[in-house]
Amino acid sequence: MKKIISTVLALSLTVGTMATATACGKDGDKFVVWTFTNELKEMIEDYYQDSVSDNTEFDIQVIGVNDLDTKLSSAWRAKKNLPDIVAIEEKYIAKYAESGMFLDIEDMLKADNEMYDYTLDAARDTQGKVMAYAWQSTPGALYYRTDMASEILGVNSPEEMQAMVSNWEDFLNVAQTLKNANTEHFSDVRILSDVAAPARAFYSERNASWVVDGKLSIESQLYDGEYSLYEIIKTLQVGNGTWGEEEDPFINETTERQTAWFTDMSQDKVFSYLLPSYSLHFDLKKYAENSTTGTTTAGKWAVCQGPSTYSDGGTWLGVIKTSKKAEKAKELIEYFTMNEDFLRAWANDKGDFMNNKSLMSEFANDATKSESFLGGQNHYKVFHQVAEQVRGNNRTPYDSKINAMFSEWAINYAKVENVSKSSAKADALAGFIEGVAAPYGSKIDTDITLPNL
Amino acid sequence: MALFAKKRKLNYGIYGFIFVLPFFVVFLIFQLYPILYSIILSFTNYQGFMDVKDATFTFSQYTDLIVNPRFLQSIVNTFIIWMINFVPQVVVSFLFAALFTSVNLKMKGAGVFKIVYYLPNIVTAASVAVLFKNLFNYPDGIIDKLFKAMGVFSDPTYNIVRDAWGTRILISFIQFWRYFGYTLLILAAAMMGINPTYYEAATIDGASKVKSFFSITLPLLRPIVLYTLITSLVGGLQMFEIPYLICDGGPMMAGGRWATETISVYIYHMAFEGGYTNDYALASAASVYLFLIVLVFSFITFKFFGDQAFGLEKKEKQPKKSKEKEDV
Repeated sequence: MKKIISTVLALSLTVGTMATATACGKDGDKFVVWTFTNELKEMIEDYYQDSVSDNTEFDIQVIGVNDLDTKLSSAWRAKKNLPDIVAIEEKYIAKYAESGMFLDIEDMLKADNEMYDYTLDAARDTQGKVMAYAWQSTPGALYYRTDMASEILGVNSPEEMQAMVSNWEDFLNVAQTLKNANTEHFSDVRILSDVAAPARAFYSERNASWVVDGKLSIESQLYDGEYSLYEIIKTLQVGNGTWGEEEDPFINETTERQTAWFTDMSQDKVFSYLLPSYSLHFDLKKYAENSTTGTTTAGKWAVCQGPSTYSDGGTWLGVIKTSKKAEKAKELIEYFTMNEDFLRAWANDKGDFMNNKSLMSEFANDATKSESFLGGQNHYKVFHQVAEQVRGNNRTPYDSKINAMFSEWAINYAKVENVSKSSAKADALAGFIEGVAAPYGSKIDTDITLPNL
Repeated sequence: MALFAKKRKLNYGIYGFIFVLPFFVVFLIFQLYPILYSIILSFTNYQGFMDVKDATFTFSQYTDLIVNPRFLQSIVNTFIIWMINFVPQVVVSFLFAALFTSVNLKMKGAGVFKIVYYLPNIVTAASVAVLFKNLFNYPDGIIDKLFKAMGVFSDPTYNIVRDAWGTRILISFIQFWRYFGYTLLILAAAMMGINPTYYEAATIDGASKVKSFFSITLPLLRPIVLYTLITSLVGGLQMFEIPYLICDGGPMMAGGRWATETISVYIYHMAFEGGYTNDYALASAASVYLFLIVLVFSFITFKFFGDQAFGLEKKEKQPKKSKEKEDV
């Protein structure tokens, strides 16, 4: 008896291990979607399947944005277990556009003329072919507190506000006024929560990408001049204090997307945030309520374009080359990116900013559109203006890392850390260039000299 | 019953094979194959979305790495962080283990303490990282505020994760905190295993407590200390989670170097992290270097402690078993 039991145990152990090692889900009939955002799942289940009657079975896998990158890369290399369509986040779109993984989407499905240009440019491969389409557009703008604006600055409309912050010089003047404020309800107000916030705008506004003809390219507006990114970060960081000694910053010294940064959304310390369209729903609305006091800043916000024209984030849909259901994939992508009924319904339900110019223009001019979180303002008006001007042809697959390095050294310059004060800017830029050289040395020529240093 | 009769003739050894088979299957698929595969990859130019069949032989990543400041720094970082956490870890564990097992002290509640000290070891690294990140977060972390109030951080705008040494010490402390309970348990168990008659004899001979600790406890603990040293060395050189989670290997320093990027974090960055170039060949070469470093240091440690560390004199080799196998 003992022997039978031990044989069974031993065999089941062996078989179990082998089975785990070789098992893989074989679901050949399902239409497989990989996405990093729940939105796509909702779009398919609550919109597409409700309006289109077919019996396609979906297998929708929602995977964290970085894990999706790893999973997708490995699957593509193995050319096995690939999805039919995949949602790609902005920081990976340049990488995948060049990967050769996607079917030429322009061939199978001509884009209508309604998409914002930058969403197409951002998804082009090196030959200039568009590889993926986006359903949303993600222009960035300045969300600010109306109660502070009227009490401290005497500003009562987004248009007036915009006039006060339409360039970085004015923006910094406002920062100074807010810092020195001492009114009935507010004092020592900081214009932004984290110091690196303007950086995204600058990166998005560049004329060309970080790499031009194989060489690292640092455009002068990033470091040279009174209102370059370097100097703006320095002014925000030093504030009323002295550079390299005592700081008295115009910002609240938080780090983007960390607890304190979110907490500032529910308090009376920070005046504004530079954020993209979707952050209204995903960040501001979510964190406007103070969890300890229960008070909320909802309704006390408004949005204006701010000193820059930029976009941040976004989601693109591409069809994987190996897909045997390309026809269905085409249908889906057409539905999500060009079907006006869907785009309208989604925008109405979610307040999201869609990738359709005439629809958004219609929304922008629709007097009935109002967002209660923004005190009844029609946010489409602002976003529509921005989205039309955003650049999309300045991306590389390395952007997420290079951007982070550049911001890091700009902060080092502002705080006189890791650099000597007498040659702070040159040190910081050298630090950045060396930082790029270490991982990318074999791909990007970093032997460059910068003018005006 | 004929079936049983037949089975009885089977070689009992077959069960042994069946029971070890799962391990070997898993080992071959998930360990040996990847090890060999990465060694092969390290001699190719395999990267990005290249088809592995198109990869060609090259040795350049090995030479690139020895002059890459970021990689060299990652080796330095690994040793710095390991030393700052390992030395105090062993000293404190020794002290506590001696206290807990002392016959004279007969400490009460030693078991409770051991469990409490061991607890951090079973908490996942991710949770620990989030915990410490929040505690030290500038400007609203509790410890950050406390240290500033106490004057430990003299600069009111000090942000620990922007400071190279601050971050290193923080990571080392977390490693220390996570692993000293484990080392403590091992050492305490080894100390309890020492035959008390040695101590009785020593006491009769008039040896002091300190003398018996150094002349009895320490020498007899040698194999265990070696074990701790080796496991900690191997584990420490492969350190990944905490440095990765606390600040992703940062902050950046001059010269393209990173302050807390360990070799494993470097490998991960180069091979898998989006924004870098998915350079599998380079990462594989770095992992071969890591393997060599571990090998060399383990070898030195063994030499330093000598073979007798295991309490075994060199024995004559057993008669060859392989012959038996051949007969079968």
